[in-house]
Amino acid sequence: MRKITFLFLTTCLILTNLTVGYTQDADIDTLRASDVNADGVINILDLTRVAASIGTTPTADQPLNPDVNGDGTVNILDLTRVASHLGKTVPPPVAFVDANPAIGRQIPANATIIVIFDMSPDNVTVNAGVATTVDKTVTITGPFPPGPFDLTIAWTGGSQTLTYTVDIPDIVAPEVTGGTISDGDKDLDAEMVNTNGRIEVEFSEAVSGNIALQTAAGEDAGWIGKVEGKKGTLELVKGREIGNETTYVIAGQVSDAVGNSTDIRITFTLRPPAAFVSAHPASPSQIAVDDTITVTFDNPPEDVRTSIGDATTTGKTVKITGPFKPGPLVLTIVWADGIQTLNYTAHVPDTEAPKITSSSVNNGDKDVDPEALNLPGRIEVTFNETVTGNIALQTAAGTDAGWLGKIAGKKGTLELVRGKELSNEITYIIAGKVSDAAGNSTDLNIRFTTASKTSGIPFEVTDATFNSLVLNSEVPVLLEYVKDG
Amino acid sequence: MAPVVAQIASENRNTFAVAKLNIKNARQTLQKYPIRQTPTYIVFQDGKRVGSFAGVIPKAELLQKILSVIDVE
Repeated sequence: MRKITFLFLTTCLILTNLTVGYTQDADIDTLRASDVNADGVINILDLTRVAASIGTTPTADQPLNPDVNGDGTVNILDLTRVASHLGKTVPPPVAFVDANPAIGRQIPANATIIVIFDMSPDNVTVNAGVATTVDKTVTITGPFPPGPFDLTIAWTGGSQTLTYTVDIPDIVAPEVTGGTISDGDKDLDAEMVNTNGRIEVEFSEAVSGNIALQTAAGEDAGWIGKVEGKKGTLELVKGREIGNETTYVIAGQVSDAVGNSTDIRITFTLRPPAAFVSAHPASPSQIAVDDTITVTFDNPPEDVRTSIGDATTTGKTVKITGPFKPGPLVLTIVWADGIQTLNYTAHVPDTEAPKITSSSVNNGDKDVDPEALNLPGRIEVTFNETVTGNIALQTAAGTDAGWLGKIAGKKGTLELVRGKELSNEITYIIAGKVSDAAGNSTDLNIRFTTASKTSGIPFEVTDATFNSLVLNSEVPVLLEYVKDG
Repeated sequence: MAPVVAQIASENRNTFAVAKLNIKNARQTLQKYPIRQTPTYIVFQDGKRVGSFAGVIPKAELLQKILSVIDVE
Protein backbone atom coordinates (compact mmCIF):
# COMPACT_ATOMS: atom_id res chain seq x y z
CA MET A 1 0.00 0.00 0.00
CA ARG A 2 2.78 2.35 0.95
CA LYS A 3 4.49 1.62 -2.34
CA ILE A 4 1.31 2.36 -4.21
CA THR A 5 0.90 5.60 -2.32
CA PHE A 6 4.47 6.60 -2.90
CA LEU A 7 4.12 5.81 -6.56
CA PHE A 8 0.99 7.88 -6.73
CA LEU A 9 2.65 10.74 -5.01
CA THR A 10 5.52 10.63 -7.36
CA THR A 11 3.17 10.63 -10.33
CA CYS A 12 1.27 13.55 -8.87
CA LEU A 13 4.50 15.43 -8.31
CA ILE A 14 5.48 14.99 -11.87
CA LEU A 15 2.08 16.07 -13.12
CA THR A 16 2.08 19.00 -10.81
CA ASN A 17 5.44 20.24 -11.91
CA LEU A 18 4.17 20.23 -15.41
CA THR A 19 1.09 22.36 -14.56
CA VAL A 20 2.66 24.93 -12.21
CA GLY A 21 1.84 28.52 -13.08
CA TYR A 22 -1.57 28.34 -14.70
CA THR A 23 -3.83 27.11 -11.94
CA GLN A 24 -3.53 30.15 -9.62
CA ASP A 25 -7.18 31.06 -10.18
CA ALA A 26 -8.50 28.21 -8.08
CA ASP A 27 -10.91 28.86 -5.22
CA ILE A 28 -8.99 30.49 -2.36
CA ASP A 29 -10.71 28.31 0.21
CA THR A 30 -9.74 25.21 -1.73
CA LEU A 31 -6.18 26.44 -1.97
CA ARG A 32 -6.01 27.16 1.74
CA ALA A 33 -7.36 23.70 2.50
CA SER A 34 -4.78 22.20 0.21
CA ASP A 35 -2.01 24.13 1.90
CA VAL A 36 -2.22 21.66 4.74
CA ASN A 37 0.89 22.84 6.56
CA ALA A 38 -0.19 26.48 5.99
CA ASP A 39 3.21 27.60 4.69
CA GLY A 40 1.71 29.54 1.77
CA VAL A 41 2.74 27.00 -0.89
CA ILE A 42 1.06 23.74 -1.96
CA ASN A 43 3.84 21.25 -2.47
CA ILE A 44 5.08 17.83 -1.66
CA LEU A 45 5.08 18.60 2.03
CA ASP A 46 1.31 19.00 1.95
CA LEU A 47 0.95 15.75 -0.01
CA THR A 48 3.13 14.00 2.55
CA ARG A 49 0.97 15.22 5.42
CA VAL A 50 -2.19 13.97 3.69
CA ALA A 51 -0.60 10.70 2.77
CA ALA A 52 0.57 10.19 6.32
CA SER A 53 -2.98 10.60 7.54
CA ILE A 54 -4.74 8.38 5.03
CA GLY A 55 -7.53 6.53 6.75
CA THR A 56 -7.87 8.92 9.69
CA THR A 57 -10.97 10.98 10.53
CA PRO A 58 -9.79 14.37 11.93
CA THR A 59 -12.21 16.89 13.28
CA ALA A 60 -13.05 19.99 11.23
CA ASP A 61 -11.40 22.37 13.68
CA GLN A 62 -8.18 20.48 13.86
CA PRO A 63 -5.23 22.69 12.95
CA LEU A 64 -3.35 21.64 9.80
CA ASN A 65 -6.28 19.47 8.90
CA PRO A 66 -5.35 16.85 6.23
CA ASP A 67 -9.05 16.30 5.39
CA VAL A 68 -8.71 18.70 2.51
CA ASN A 69 -12.15 18.21 0.96
CA GLY A 70 -13.78 18.20 4.39
CA ASP A 71 -15.69 14.91 3.91
CA GLY A 72 -14.60 13.62 7.34
CA THR A 73 -12.06 11.05 6.14
CA VAL A 74 -8.53 11.40 4.82
CA ASN A 75 -8.29 9.33 1.66
CA ILE A 76 -7.16 9.32 -1.91
CA LEU A 77 -9.56 12.12 -2.77
CA ASP A 78 -7.68 14.45 -0.46
CA LEU A 79 -4.40 13.39 -2.04
CA THR A 80 -5.85 14.07 -5.48
CA ARG A 81 -7.12 17.52 -4.34
CA VAL A 82 -3.70 18.55 -3.07
CA ALA A 83 -1.94 17.10 -6.06
CA SER A 84 -4.15 19.10 -8.40
CA HIS A 85 -2.87 22.32 -6.81
CA LEU A 86 0.75 21.44 -6.37
CA GLY A 87 3.00 24.39 -6.92
CA LYS A 88 0.36 27.01 -6.25
CA THR A 89 0.89 29.75 -3.75
CA VAL A 90 -1.80 30.60 -1.20
CA PRO A 91 -2.26 34.28 -0.28
CA PRO A 92 -2.19 35.03 3.48
CA PRO A 93 -5.62 35.79 5.15
CA VAL A 94 -6.85 39.38 5.65
CA ALA A 95 -6.05 40.38 9.19
CA PHE A 96 -7.82 42.74 11.60
CA VAL A 97 -5.64 45.70 12.53
CA ASP A 98 -7.58 48.12 14.70
CA ALA A 99 -11.01 49.44 15.65
CA ASN A 100 -12.22 52.87 16.60
CA PRO A 101 -13.71 53.30 19.19
CA ALA A 102 -11.29 50.91 20.79
CA ILE A 103 -12.50 47.60 22.04
CA GLY A 104 -13.90 47.79 25.55
CA ARG A 105 -15.11 51.39 25.28
CA GLN A 106 -18.56 52.72 26.06
CA ILE A 107 -20.35 53.83 22.91
CA PRO A 108 -23.69 55.43 22.18
CA ALA A 109 -26.36 53.34 20.55
CA ASN A 110 -26.02 55.20 17.30
CA ALA A 111 -22.23 55.10 17.26
CA THR A 112 -20.13 54.51 14.16
CA ILE A 113 -17.38 51.90 14.52
CA ILE A 114 -14.48 51.97 12.09
CA VAL A 115 -12.49 48.76 11.63
CA ILE A 116 -9.15 48.75 9.87
CA PHE A 117 -7.67 45.63 8.13
CA ASP A 118 -4.23 45.03 6.68
CA MET A 119 -5.79 44.36 3.34
CA SER A 120 -9.19 44.91 1.82
CA PRO A 121 -11.45 42.24 3.25
CA ASP A 122 -14.00 40.35 1.18
CA ASN A 123 -17.49 39.28 2.07
CA VAL A 124 -17.64 41.36 5.23
CA THR A 125 -20.62 40.63 7.43
CA VAL A 126 -21.56 42.00 10.92
CA ASN A 127 -23.98 40.73 13.53
CA ALA A 128 -25.38 44.22 14.19
CA GLY A 129 -25.49 47.48 12.32
CA VAL A 130 -24.64 48.10 8.72
CA ALA A 131 -21.10 47.52 7.35
CA THR A 132 -19.63 49.45 4.46
CA THR A 133 -16.24 48.44 3.12
CA VAL A 134 -13.94 50.90 1.43
CA ASP A 135 -10.51 49.44 0.72
CA LYS A 136 -9.03 48.39 4.05
CA THR A 137 -11.69 50.20 6.10
CA VAL A 138 -15.02 48.84 7.21
CA THR A 139 -17.44 51.37 8.67
CA ILE A 140 -20.19 49.90 10.83
CA THR A 141 -23.08 52.15 11.83
CA GLY A 142 -25.63 51.51 14.55
CA PRO A 143 -28.03 51.42 16.14
CA PHE A 144 -26.60 48.86 18.48
CA PRO A 145 -28.48 47.16 21.31
CA PRO A 146 -27.96 48.84 24.72
CA GLY A 147 -25.84 47.17 27.36
CA PRO A 148 -22.86 44.80 26.92
CA PHE A 149 -22.44 44.27 23.20
CA ASP A 150 -20.23 41.89 21.14
CA LEU A 151 -19.83 43.08 17.56
CA THR A 152 -18.69 40.21 15.40
CA ILE A 153 -17.16 41.01 12.01
CA ALA A 154 -16.63 38.13 9.64
CA TRP A 155 -14.78 38.27 6.35
CA THR A 156 -13.26 35.83 4.02
CA GLY A 157 -10.51 34.20 5.88
CA GLY A 158 -11.27 35.49 9.32
CA SER A 159 -13.49 37.03 11.90
CA GLN A 160 -13.11 39.36 14.85
CA THR A 161 -15.30 40.08 17.84
CA LEU A 162 -15.25 43.59 19.24
CA THR A 163 -16.64 44.04 22.76
CA TYR A 164 -18.34 47.29 23.71
CA THR A 165 -20.84 48.66 26.20
CA VAL A 166 -23.62 50.47 24.43
CA ASP A 167 -25.19 53.37 26.30
CA ILE A 168 -28.81 53.09 27.26
CA PRO A 169 -30.49 55.85 25.30
CA ASP A 170 -31.51 58.93 27.30
CA ILE A 171 -35.20 59.46 26.78
CA VAL A 172 -35.83 61.00 30.19
CA ALA A 173 -36.50 64.70 30.25
CA PRO A 174 -34.74 66.74 32.91
CA GLU A 175 -36.70 67.24 36.11
CA VAL A 176 -36.80 69.91 38.77
CA THR A 177 -35.35 68.26 41.85
CA GLY A 178 -35.27 71.15 44.26
CA GLY A 179 -34.55 74.79 44.72
CA THR A 180 -35.24 77.83 46.79
CA ILE A 181 -38.97 77.71 46.11
CA SER A 182 -41.18 74.71 45.43
CA ASP A 183 -44.23 74.59 43.24
CA GLY A 184 -47.29 75.39 45.30
CA ASP A 185 -45.48 77.23 48.06
CA LYS A 186 -47.86 79.60 49.81
CA ASP A 187 -47.61 82.69 51.92
CA LEU A 188 -43.93 83.27 51.28
CA ASP A 189 -42.46 86.36 52.84
CA ALA A 190 -41.80 88.77 49.99
CA GLU A 191 -39.25 90.62 52.06
CA MET A 192 -37.32 87.42 52.62
CA VAL A 193 -37.35 86.58 48.92
CA ASN A 194 -36.21 90.08 48.03
CA THR A 195 -33.55 90.09 50.71
CA ASN A 196 -32.14 86.85 49.38
CA GLY A 197 -32.21 88.44 45.93
CA ARG A 198 -31.74 85.07 44.30
CA ILE A 199 -34.03 82.17 43.47
CA GLU A 200 -32.47 78.86 42.50
CA VAL A 201 -33.99 75.89 40.67
CA GLU A 202 -32.13 72.58 40.68
CA PHE A 203 -32.44 70.01 37.89
CA SER A 204 -31.84 66.28 37.71
CA GLU A 205 -29.15 66.71 35.05
CA ALA A 206 -27.17 69.33 33.25
CA VAL A 207 -29.45 71.42 31.11
CA SER A 208 -29.55 74.41 28.89
CA GLY A 209 -32.46 76.72 28.24
CA ASN A 210 -34.16 79.68 29.78
CA ILE A 211 -35.85 80.64 33.01
CA ALA A 212 -37.79 83.73 34.04
CA LEU A 213 -39.83 85.10 36.92
CA GLN A 214 -43.31 86.11 35.86
CA THR A 215 -46.51 87.38 37.38
CA ALA A 216 -49.60 85.20 37.28
CA ALA A 217 -50.64 87.17 34.21
CA GLY A 218 -47.43 86.16 32.47
CA GLU A 219 -45.68 89.50 32.71
CA ASP A 220 -41.94 89.38 33.29
CA ALA A 221 -41.04 90.41 36.81
CA GLY A 222 -37.68 91.73 35.66
CA TRP A 223 -35.37 89.28 37.39
CA ILE A 224 -32.39 87.98 35.40
CA GLY A 225 -32.73 84.30 34.59
CA LYS A 226 -29.81 82.02 33.82
CA VAL A 227 -29.52 78.26 33.25
CA GLU A 228 -26.16 76.62 33.75
CA GLY A 229 -25.23 73.04 34.55
CA LYS A 230 -27.81 71.54 36.81
CA LYS A 231 -29.00 74.89 38.10
CA GLY A 232 -31.24 77.70 37.04
CA THR A 233 -30.96 81.03 38.83
CA LEU A 234 -33.04 84.17 38.97
CA GLU A 235 -31.27 87.29 40.18
CA LEU A 236 -33.10 90.30 41.53
CA VAL A 237 -32.61 93.51 39.63
CA LYS A 238 -32.67 96.49 41.95
CA GLY A 239 -36.05 98.16 41.83
CA ARG A 240 -37.79 95.01 40.68
CA GLU A 241 -38.48 93.58 44.12
CA ILE A 242 -41.50 91.35 44.21
CA GLY A 243 -44.48 92.01 46.42
CA ASN A 244 -46.92 93.97 44.33
CA GLU A 245 -48.56 90.76 43.22
CA THR A 246 -49.75 87.80 45.21
CA THR A 247 -48.90 85.01 42.77
CA TYR A 248 -45.67 84.57 40.85
CA VAL A 249 -44.50 81.88 38.41
CA ILE A 250 -40.99 80.64 37.67
CA ALA A 251 -41.37 79.74 34.01
CA GLY A 252 -39.10 78.53 31.26
CA GLN A 253 -37.90 75.55 29.32
CA VAL A 254 -34.73 73.48 29.70
CA SER A 255 -33.29 70.64 27.64
CA ASP A 256 -30.69 67.99 28.35
CA ALA A 257 -27.80 67.09 26.08
CA VAL A 258 -29.89 64.78 23.89
CA GLY A 259 -32.71 67.23 23.51
CA ASN A 260 -35.17 65.98 26.05
CA SER A 261 -36.91 69.11 27.25
CA THR A 262 -39.01 70.16 30.20
CA ASP A 263 -41.30 73.10 30.64
CA ILE A 264 -40.75 74.75 34.00
CA ARG A 265 -43.70 76.17 35.87
CA ILE A 266 -43.20 76.73 39.58
CA THR A 267 -46.06 78.72 41.03
CA PHE A 268 -45.87 80.33 44.44
CA THR A 269 -47.81 82.90 46.36
CA LEU A 270 -46.66 85.63 48.66
CA ARG A 271 -48.23 86.31 51.97
CA PRO A 272 -50.46 89.34 51.46
CA PRO A 273 -49.23 92.32 53.50
CA ALA A 274 -51.21 93.07 56.63
CA ALA A 275 -52.46 96.60 57.20
CA PHE A 276 -53.86 98.06 60.40
CA VAL A 277 -57.64 98.39 60.30
CA SER A 278 -58.86 99.33 63.76
CA ALA A 279 -58.28 99.10 67.48
CA HIS A 280 -60.73 98.51 70.26
CA PRO A 281 -60.88 100.48 72.51
CA ALA A 282 -60.30 103.18 69.92
CA SER A 283 -57.20 105.29 70.12
CA PRO A 284 -57.04 107.70 71.84
CA SER A 285 -59.29 106.77 74.74
CA GLN A 286 -59.29 105.77 78.36
CA ILE A 287 -58.83 102.16 79.27
CA ALA A 288 -58.62 100.20 82.46
CA VAL A 289 -55.21 98.93 83.45
CA ASP A 290 -56.41 95.37 82.98
CA ASP A 291 -58.26 95.97 79.72
CA THR A 292 -57.56 93.94 76.59
CA ILE A 293 -56.83 95.94 73.47
CA THR A 294 -57.97 94.23 70.28
CA VAL A 295 -56.27 95.27 67.07
CA THR A 296 -57.71 94.18 63.73
CA PHE A 297 -55.78 93.89 60.44
CA ASP A 298 -56.99 93.33 56.90
CA ASN A 299 -54.77 90.25 56.61
CA PRO A 300 -53.11 88.04 59.21
CA PRO A 301 -50.03 89.90 60.45
CA GLU A 302 -46.66 88.20 60.96
CA ASP A 303 -44.02 88.71 63.63
CA VAL A 304 -46.20 90.87 65.82
CA ARG A 305 -44.43 92.62 68.68
CA THR A 306 -45.73 95.22 71.07
CA SER A 307 -43.96 97.79 73.20
CA ILE A 308 -46.17 96.97 76.17
CA GLY A 309 -48.25 93.98 77.20
CA ASP A 310 -48.55 90.51 75.75
CA ALA A 311 -49.73 90.07 72.16
CA THR A 312 -51.65 87.04 70.96
CA THR A 313 -52.35 86.79 67.25
CA THR A 314 -55.32 84.84 65.96
CA GLY A 315 -55.98 85.23 62.26
CA LYS A 316 -56.45 88.91 61.54
CA THR A 317 -56.79 89.84 65.21
CA VAL A 318 -54.15 90.67 67.77
CA LYS A 319 -55.15 90.84 71.41
CA ILE A 320 -52.86 92.80 73.69
CA THR A 321 -53.31 92.20 77.37
CA GLY A 322 -51.93 94.15 80.31
CA PRO A 323 -51.82 94.89 83.05
CA PHE A 324 -50.85 98.36 81.94
CA LYS A 325 -49.40 101.03 84.14
CA PRO A 326 -51.87 103.72 85.16
CA GLY A 327 -51.40 106.95 83.28
CA PRO A 328 -50.58 107.84 79.68
CA LEU A 329 -49.98 104.72 77.60
CA VAL A 330 -48.22 104.75 74.23
CA LEU A 331 -48.60 101.31 72.70
CA THR A 332 -46.48 100.59 69.62
CA ILE A 333 -47.33 97.55 67.54
CA VAL A 334 -44.73 96.35 65.06
CA TRP A 335 -45.39 93.59 62.56
CA ALA A 336 -43.72 92.32 59.41
CA ASP A 337 -45.43 94.86 57.20
CA GLY A 338 -45.76 97.94 59.33
CA ILE A 339 -45.96 99.79 62.61
CA GLN A 340 -48.84 101.44 64.45
CA THR A 341 -48.91 103.56 67.57
CA LEU A 342 -51.97 103.67 69.81
CA ASN A 343 -52.47 106.19 72.60
CA TYR A 344 -54.46 105.51 75.74
CA THR A 345 -54.78 106.65 79.27
CA ALA A 346 -54.87 103.71 81.60
CA HIS A 347 -56.71 103.98 84.86
CA VAL A 348 -57.44 101.72 87.77
CA PRO A 349 -60.73 100.03 87.09
CA ASP A 350 -63.86 101.30 88.79
CA THR A 351 -65.29 98.46 90.83
CA GLU A 352 -67.48 100.53 93.06
CA ALA A 353 -71.21 100.60 92.52
CA PRO A 354 -73.01 103.95 92.37
CA LYS A 355 -74.24 105.26 95.69
CA ILE A 356 -77.23 107.38 96.61
CA THR A 357 -76.06 110.65 98.08
CA SER A 358 -79.44 112.24 98.67
CA SER A 359 -83.11 111.68 98.03
CA SER A 360 -86.42 113.48 98.45
CA VAL A 361 -87.39 110.62 100.72
CA ASN A 362 -85.12 108.19 102.49
CA ASN A 363 -85.36 104.50 102.87
CA GLY A 364 -87.44 103.73 105.95
CA ASP A 365 -89.13 107.12 106.16
CA LYS A 366 -92.56 106.97 107.82
CA ASP A 367 -95.39 109.40 108.12
CA VAL A 368 -94.29 111.11 104.96
CA ASP A 369 -96.79 113.78 104.10
CA PRO A 370 -97.96 112.78 100.65
CA GLU A 371 -98.80 116.38 99.89
CA ALA A 372 -95.18 117.32 100.46
CA LEU A 373 -94.40 115.14 97.46
CA ASN A 374 -97.56 115.69 95.45
CA LEU A 375 -97.30 119.42 95.59
CA PRO A 376 -93.90 119.74 93.86
CA GLY A 377 -94.86 116.66 91.84
CA ARG A 378 -91.27 115.49 91.79
CA ILE A 379 -89.15 113.05 93.73
CA GLU A 380 -85.39 113.17 93.21
CA VAL A 381 -82.65 110.65 93.94
CA THR A 382 -79.05 111.87 93.57
CA PHE A 383 -76.08 109.54 92.97
CA ASN A 384 -72.37 109.99 93.56
CA GLU A 385 -71.54 109.46 89.88
CA THR A 386 -73.10 109.54 86.48
CA VAL A 387 -75.37 106.61 85.97
CA THR A 388 -77.76 105.07 83.48
CA GLY A 389 -80.67 102.82 84.20
CA ASN A 390 -84.25 103.03 85.27
CA ILE A 391 -86.28 104.26 88.21
CA ALA A 392 -89.93 103.82 89.08
CA LEU A 393 -92.33 104.45 91.93
CA GLN A 394 -94.15 101.36 93.05
CA THR A 395 -96.43 100.27 95.85
CA ALA A 396 -95.23 97.64 98.28
CA ALA A 397 -97.21 95.13 96.22
CA GLY A 398 -95.09 95.96 93.20
CA THR A 399 -97.76 97.92 91.36
CA ASP A 400 -96.47 100.90 89.44
CA ALA A 401 -97.64 104.12 91.00
CA GLY A 402 -97.70 105.82 87.63
CA TRP A 403 -95.00 108.43 88.14
CA LEU A 404 -92.60 109.01 85.24
CA GLY A 405 -89.11 107.80 86.05
CA LYS A 406 -85.97 109.14 84.35
CA ILE A 407 -82.25 108.75 84.89
CA ALA A 408 -79.96 111.48 83.64
CA GLY A 409 -76.44 112.26 84.74
CA LYS A 410 -76.15 111.83 88.47
CA LYS A 411 -79.86 112.19 89.10
CA GLY A 412 -82.93 110.03 89.00
CA THR A 413 -86.31 111.78 88.96
CA LEU A 414 -89.89 110.69 89.38
CA GLU A 415 -92.44 113.07 87.91
CA LEU A 416 -96.04 113.07 89.06
CA VAL A 417 -98.61 112.28 86.44
CA ARG A 418 -101.88 114.08 87.13
CA GLY A 419 -104.30 111.81 88.91
CA LYS A 420 -101.49 109.63 90.26
CA GLU A 421 -100.91 111.58 93.47
CA LEU A 422 -99.55 109.71 96.45
CA SER A 423 -102.15 108.56 98.96
CA ASN A 424 -102.02 108.50 102.72
CA GLU A 425 -100.76 105.58 104.72
CA ILE A 426 -99.34 103.70 101.78
CA THR A 427 -95.92 102.11 101.60
CA TYR A 428 -94.17 103.11 98.39
CA ILE A 429 -90.93 101.88 96.93
CA ILE A 430 -88.61 103.85 94.70
CA ALA A 431 -87.32 100.92 92.69
CA GLY A 432 -84.99 100.45 89.76
CA LYS A 433 -81.43 99.79 88.83
CA VAL A 434 -78.63 102.13 87.85
CA SER A 435 -75.16 101.40 86.49
CA ASP A 436 -72.03 103.49 86.16
CA ALA A 437 -69.80 103.64 83.09
CA ALA A 438 -67.78 100.68 84.31
CA GLY A 439 -70.91 98.59 84.60
CA ASN A 440 -71.09 98.59 88.33
CA SER A 441 -74.75 98.57 89.25
CA THR A 442 -76.93 99.38 92.21
CA ASP A 443 -80.46 98.24 92.83
CA LEU A 444 -82.77 100.98 94.06
CA ASN A 445 -85.06 100.08 96.92
CA ILE A 446 -86.14 103.15 98.86
CA ARG A 447 -89.18 102.28 100.94
CA PHE A 448 -91.25 105.00 102.58
CA THR A 449 -94.67 105.17 104.04
CA THR A 450 -97.00 108.13 103.76
CA ALA A 451 -98.69 109.55 106.79
CA SER A 452 -102.25 108.91 107.77
CA LYS A 453 -104.89 111.34 106.65
CA THR A 454 -105.03 112.75 110.14
CA SER A 455 -102.48 113.06 112.80
CA GLY A 456 -104.66 111.48 115.42
CA ILE A 457 -104.29 114.58 117.57
CA PRO A 458 -107.27 116.83 118.00
CA PHE A 459 -106.70 120.25 116.60
CA GLU A 460 -108.28 123.57 117.46
CA VAL A 461 -110.66 125.34 115.16
CA THR A 462 -111.64 128.99 115.13
CA ASP A 463 -114.12 130.95 113.10
CA ALA A 464 -111.26 131.79 110.74
CA THR A 465 -110.24 128.21 110.16
CA PHE A 466 -113.58 126.51 110.46
CA ASN A 467 -114.31 126.38 106.78
CA SER A 468 -110.93 125.16 105.70
CA LEU A 469 -110.33 122.68 108.47
CA VAL A 470 -113.82 121.37 108.94
CA LEU A 471 -116.08 122.03 106.04
CA ASN A 472 -113.36 121.52 103.42
CA SER A 473 -111.74 118.56 105.11
CA GLU A 474 -111.31 115.49 103.02
CA VAL A 475 -112.09 113.36 106.01
CA PRO A 476 -115.04 113.49 108.35
CA VAL A 477 -114.47 115.77 111.32
CA LEU A 478 -115.83 115.30 114.80
CA LEU A 479 -116.09 118.82 116.18
CA GLU A 480 -116.25 119.01 119.98
CA TYR A 481 -117.59 122.18 121.42
CA VAL A 482 -115.65 123.03 124.55
CA LYS A 483 -115.62 125.81 126.99
CA ASP A 484 -112.21 127.29 127.83
CA GLY A 485 -110.04 124.59 126.71
CA MET B 1 -111.55 117.95 125.93
CA ALA B 2 -112.37 114.67 127.51
CA PRO B 3 -109.58 112.06 127.51
CA VAL B 4 -111.86 109.62 125.69
CA VAL B 5 -112.12 112.03 122.80
CA ALA B 6 -108.38 112.23 122.55
CA GLN B 7 -108.22 108.43 122.54
CA ILE B 8 -110.88 108.19 119.86
CA ALA B 9 -108.96 110.70 117.79
CA SER B 10 -105.77 108.72 118.04
CA GLU B 11 -107.31 105.33 117.45
CA ASN B 12 -109.41 106.43 114.44
CA ARG B 13 -107.12 108.86 112.77
CA ASN B 14 -107.45 107.11 109.48
CA THR B 15 -111.21 107.39 109.57
CA PHE B 16 -111.93 110.83 110.83
CA ALA B 17 -110.31 113.82 112.44
CA VAL B 18 -111.18 115.40 115.72
CA ALA B 19 -111.25 119.12 116.25
CA LYS B 20 -112.23 121.26 119.16
CA LEU B 21 -113.97 124.61 119.07
CA ASN B 22 -113.74 126.97 122.00
CA ILE B 23 -117.15 128.54 122.14
CA LYS B 24 -115.66 131.75 123.48
CA ASN B 25 -113.80 132.29 120.25
CA ALA B 26 -116.34 131.00 117.78
CA ARG B 27 -119.22 133.31 117.69
CA GLN B 28 -119.83 133.04 113.98
CA THR B 29 -119.65 129.29 114.04
CA LEU B 30 -122.00 129.13 116.97
CA GLN B 31 -124.44 131.29 115.12
CA LYS B 32 -124.36 128.90 112.22
CA TYR B 33 -124.22 125.72 114.28
CA PRO B 34 -125.73 126.63 117.68
CA ILE B 35 -125.57 124.30 120.72
CA ARG B 36 -127.33 124.19 124.05
CA GLN B 37 -124.69 122.61 126.24
CA THR B 38 -121.17 121.43 126.41
CA PRO B 39 -119.87 119.04 125.55
CA THR B 40 -121.65 118.82 122.27
CA TYR B 41 -120.29 116.91 119.29
CA ILE B 42 -121.14 117.71 115.69
CA VAL B 43 -119.93 115.48 112.89
CA PHE B 44 -119.13 117.09 109.52
CA GLN B 45 -118.50 115.29 106.30
CA ASP B 46 -118.09 116.72 102.86
CA GLY B 47 -118.96 120.19 104.20
CA LYS B 48 -122.20 119.14 105.81
CA ARG B 49 -123.33 118.34 109.29
CA VAL B 50 -124.18 114.68 109.33
CA GLY B 51 -124.81 114.17 113.07
CA SER B 52 -124.61 115.66 116.55
CA PHE B 53 -124.49 114.35 120.10
CA ALA B 54 -124.63 116.19 123.44
CA GLY B 55 -123.57 115.35 126.94
CA VAL B 56 -120.99 113.11 128.44
CA ILE B 57 -121.05 109.91 126.43
CA PRO B 58 -118.99 106.80 127.13
CA LYS B 59 -116.16 106.18 124.68
CA ALA B 60 -117.61 103.15 122.98
CA GLU B 61 -121.04 104.70 122.63
CA LEU B 62 -119.58 107.90 121.28
CA LEU B 63 -117.53 106.05 118.70
CA GLN B 64 -120.53 104.02 117.65
CA LYS B 65 -122.56 107.16 117.18
CA ILE B 66 -119.85 108.77 115.10
CA LEU B 67 -119.35 105.76 112.85
CA SER B 68 -123.09 105.46 112.40
CA VAL B 69 -123.34 108.88 110.76
CA ILE B 70 -120.25 109.05 108.60
CA ASP B 71 -119.86 107.41 105.30
CA VAL B 72 -116.71 105.34 105.54
CA GLU B 73 -115.11 104.43 102.23
